[in-house]
Amino acid sequence: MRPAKFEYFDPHTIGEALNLLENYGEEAKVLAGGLSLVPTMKLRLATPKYVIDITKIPTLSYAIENNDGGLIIGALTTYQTLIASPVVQNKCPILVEIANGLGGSQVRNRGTLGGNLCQGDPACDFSPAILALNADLKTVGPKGERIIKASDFFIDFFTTSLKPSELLTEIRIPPSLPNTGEAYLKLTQRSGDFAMVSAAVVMTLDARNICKTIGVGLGAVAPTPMKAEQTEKALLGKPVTDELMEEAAKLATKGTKPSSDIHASSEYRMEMIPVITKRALKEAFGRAGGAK
Amino acid sequence: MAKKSIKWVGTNVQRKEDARFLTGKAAFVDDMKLPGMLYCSILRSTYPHAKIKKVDISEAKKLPGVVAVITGEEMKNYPLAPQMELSHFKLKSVGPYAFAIAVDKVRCVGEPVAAVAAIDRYVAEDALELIKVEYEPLTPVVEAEKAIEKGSPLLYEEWGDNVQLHVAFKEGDVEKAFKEADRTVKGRITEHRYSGFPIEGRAILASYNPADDKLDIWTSTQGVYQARSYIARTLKFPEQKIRVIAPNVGGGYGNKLNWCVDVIPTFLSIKTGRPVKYTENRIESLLSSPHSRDYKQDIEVACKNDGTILGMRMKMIVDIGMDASHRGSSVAMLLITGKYCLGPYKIPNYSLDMSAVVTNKSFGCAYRGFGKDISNRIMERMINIMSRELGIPPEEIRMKNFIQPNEFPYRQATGALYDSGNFPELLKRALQKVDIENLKKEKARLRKEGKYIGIGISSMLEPAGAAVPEAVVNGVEGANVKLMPEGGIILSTGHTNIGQGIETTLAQVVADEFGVTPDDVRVIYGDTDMTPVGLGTFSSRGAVWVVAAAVTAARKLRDKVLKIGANILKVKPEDVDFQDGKVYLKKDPAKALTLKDIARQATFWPGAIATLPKDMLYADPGLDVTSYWTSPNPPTSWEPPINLYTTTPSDAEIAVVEVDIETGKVKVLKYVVVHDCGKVINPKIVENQAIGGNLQGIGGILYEEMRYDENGQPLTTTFMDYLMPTAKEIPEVFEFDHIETPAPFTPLGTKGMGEGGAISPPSTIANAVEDALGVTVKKTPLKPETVLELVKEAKAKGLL
Amino acid sequence: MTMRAITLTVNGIPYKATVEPRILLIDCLRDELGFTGPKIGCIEGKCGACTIMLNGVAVKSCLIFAVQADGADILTVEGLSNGSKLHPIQEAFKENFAVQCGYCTPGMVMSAYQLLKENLNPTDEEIKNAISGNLCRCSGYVPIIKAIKEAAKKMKSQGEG
Repeated sequence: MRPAKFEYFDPHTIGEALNLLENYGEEAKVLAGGLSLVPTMKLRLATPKYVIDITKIPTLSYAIENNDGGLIIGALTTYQTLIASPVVQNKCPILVEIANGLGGSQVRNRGTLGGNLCQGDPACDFSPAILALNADLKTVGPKGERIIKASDFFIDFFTTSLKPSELLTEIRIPPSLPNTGEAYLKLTQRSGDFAMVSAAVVMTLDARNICKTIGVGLGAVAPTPMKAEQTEKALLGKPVTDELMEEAAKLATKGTKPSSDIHASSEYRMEMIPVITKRALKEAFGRAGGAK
Repeated sequence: MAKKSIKWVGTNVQRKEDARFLTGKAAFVDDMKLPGMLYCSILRSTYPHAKIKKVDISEAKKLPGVVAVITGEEMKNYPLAPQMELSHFKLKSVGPYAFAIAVDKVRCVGEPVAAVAAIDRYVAEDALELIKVEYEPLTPVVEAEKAIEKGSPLLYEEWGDNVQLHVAFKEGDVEKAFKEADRTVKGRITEHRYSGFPIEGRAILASYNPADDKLDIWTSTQGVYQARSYIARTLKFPEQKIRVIAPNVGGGYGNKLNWCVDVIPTFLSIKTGRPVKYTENRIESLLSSPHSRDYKQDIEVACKNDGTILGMRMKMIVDIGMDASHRGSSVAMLLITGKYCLGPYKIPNYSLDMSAVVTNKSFGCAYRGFGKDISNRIMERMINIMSRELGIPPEEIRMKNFIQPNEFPYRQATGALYDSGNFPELLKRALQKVDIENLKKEKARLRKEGKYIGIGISSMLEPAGAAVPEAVVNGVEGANVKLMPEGGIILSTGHTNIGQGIETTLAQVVADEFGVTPDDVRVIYGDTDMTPVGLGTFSSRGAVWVVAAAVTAARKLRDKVLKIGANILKVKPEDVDFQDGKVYLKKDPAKALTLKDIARQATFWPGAIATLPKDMLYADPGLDVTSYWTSPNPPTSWEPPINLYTTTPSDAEIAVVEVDIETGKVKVLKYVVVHDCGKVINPKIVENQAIGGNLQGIGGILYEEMRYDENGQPLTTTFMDYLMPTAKEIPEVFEFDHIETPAPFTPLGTKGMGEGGAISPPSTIANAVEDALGVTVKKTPLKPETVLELVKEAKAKGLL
Repeated sequence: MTMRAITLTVNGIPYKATVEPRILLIDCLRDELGFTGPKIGCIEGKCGACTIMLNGVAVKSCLIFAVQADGADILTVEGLSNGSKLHPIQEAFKENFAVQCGYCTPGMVMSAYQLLKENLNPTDEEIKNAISGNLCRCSGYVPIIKAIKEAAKKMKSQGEG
């Protein structure tokens, strides 16, 4: 199928983009990699009058070390850039792991981190990770910049707290500590499909396997991606063992409300939340240097 | 008799077709453009079952760039031609109700209700949004089992019910068999709805020239001759003025043996006097191209405690969607099941009761199997269940009941004549390949570690080369072979190339007959103006019918060449022989003429009159032979004993899977195939087609599902919902081997194999999952959630 | 709606076109400029038949508007071979019987091209990952994976990559 007619703009600066958003707001859609927007336009499920292509803005694609030793990533950074970046590999391997699992080189060459997050799709892959990482998101709008905590970014089904006049510009990952293990697991039918349930874990241990920091993000378990706060509470400050991880994983169902679709029912997803969470915890534990 | 050294058949000749596909120089229908060409778009019903009250095309017609808009109003005088008549079986006809564009009623979501011809693809789609349709919804008929209940809404009121075809077959004494049995093993085997969905959807470029009153149609189809007749009959257009060409075709697997959609752009082309191209998009393909499978079988097997099978009873309902006789053809599956339900086993007593039921879903047509898949499920799944009940390994039950290699040709109790095979050898080799005894030990060891692997077997029969009376899958096959004055050869055949490499394999066959190379032979195909009549690609028939026709024609021509050569050498035909492209004197082989020598002399230099023997000169002087072949095996009528297919290729397949008992995910660790398709023309082409088919079958059982909700709305309309295997889904290990038991009824002993790969995996994988868990599979596809239910059942029974 | 004049360099030669913004790059290449190598097999960018190289990386051209590619350097499958001389990837596909109906082939070859540009020692896993966005219904992928491995060897020995 082919899209309906629209007017096309390709601003070269953030300022130009913001002006366009201000003018056209609700009738406009922002185009980045196009992996989500273009199919919906081809299906004519989305028929924006204006399309604002921000991919020509050169200042939004980067992955570099921040002043505090963390990582800052421009919203238009592609998955492939994440995969190939030594800084990302070093500081935030979970992002590389996720990017590598997304189907085919074509997707990795066009998909952008910001685009993926702005979808607000509860099943999209990077959202659980940035929740687990306790990342911040920087947006820019007519009133200037805002920093939004990842846990405040996803507010409803396919809805983020990004205003129609704003652009997401940067994702900020806090510095990682030594003995940190990161893992992302998703339950799918085929490799690379949207998650039926997914879990991202970032875990730091001390020398005695005590959990110093823990972040657990879940995908496809609710209208938005969400943190498994009860799981985190159960692990923080405790010596981590298989039994504890198993118990903590069971708590991951708290506050979830998975939906049913043709791939899996809500009951099945509910049953899988502890299973996938447990597996992700164990993987992260092993990578953090935890010994059995 | 002419001798020849066989050089090409049986070797891996690289495909002649490949260079154009690899360099992007192969024209598929959508790649083609003609001057003045318009693009066709189709508006499709959003209701599964509804009366059409009004179709308002007035706004659409006004859109700049729109040249024509049509509705059912214009199509109502052109009811669709049938693909199946089967009057012998009292097939109910949808004849008066089936139109390319719905006239007063729609019977599935996706059925065409209007069509547009416009100057470009984008405008053609814009126009669809301006068409307003008023529907009066009717209660949809969604479940086949409910559709046959009294009081169900009817798709075709005049029928009085929703059963398009009901047949019952039996032989022997089934009641006695069940009385004498030590045990009756019962099973309910169901298979969900899925289909082939080639990466190239259906596409048609129809070009009507009003000055010549002639139609040229390029269509991505498997059968050009049926297409021509279907269009001629439907549109009441003189058939001699229609040319149908299948250019490069991007896959078929059976899904492109239907022409109901071709009618629409053809009609628009006649109406506008311009070429009109229609290229189905993926949603249209998922909604409205042929669907397959979707059956429920209730089976009982009568057996002795030692595993000997005495009899079988089956009752089955197949959901054929809105029709399977005019748009599609899959009612015939019931007849094929009737013939092949006993598989490779000796079972003297059986009874079948089968119904093809219409529902408000897309129509049923062919997809690799066409009844052979249904047949495979019966014994291959039941043996697995029997194995658990009897405590006998499934491979032993098979070995015990196989038709033996010295019993061929074997007249099965159903009347089918199996030509040749060696079922025990196939299974034996497959078991060797998986090292079955050690594998079972490994399985036991892994269970103790909490890892659950399962082994599943299928002994598959893939009858090939059908001729079904009263159907478009009938008839005879022609081939023409010409020798050019400069020594080149052209084979022309009505066959179609949908990926099986016929430009190469048929060239190999003909090259061997003349002792030349495949490069010396060019194959022309898929064009009703250029070739003898051929029925196209289906039922794995190429290696049977087309090869047989080609060989027969080639041998007749070679015989002529031999006689002409003898005449030139001024000797008798018995004094010469033919080998390696030469006619030579037996007593003095140095005295030889090449094909080129003979062809040149016999055509222009000095010419036929001086070169040909007198009797040939006045009877049949051309270096050109057309020969039509028909199988000595199937009949042309329904007089018993009825056999529908010429040959019976077969194989043994074994799947080794691991079931993740926490999530229900199934991983295929190993897939082994040992295959017999008789004499193999090009081993690599055969092997790779089989592997491709296998992955389709794996996709079918694990990932693919064409689903409708309880209101008849399709839920799987894009490739995000309908999940076909990617490269990451292939089994970790794939092993392929073959044996050859030559076919007695074909000149080279070839049997055909195009469909086989997709038939078994739903059996092998279900059998493997059952082996891992110890319980019977209840439904498919085997999605993680479905398998998890089986895990829970197994746990509750203390089996895990 | 404002039409845009764009320039696309395809297989080394610049072409001009004037397009509506909604025209997909795949349609511009196929219908306007006559490069029918890349194919359309789906709507939502899942089949990969439309894969081309855009500014040096493999992309699905059905998910890009032609106006977005203004000024871009595009390589389609037609640009890989040199007259009748096949690229080593194309040769390896042929030698390994990795083509059947041929419809997925142009896109598949381009994904292989992307992989081998960066990695001439791909493991099976890396190959599967590289082509996981290209659907093939005929071959079961096994001969394709083999072909790509052999193409890598060929290219290494020819000093390419």
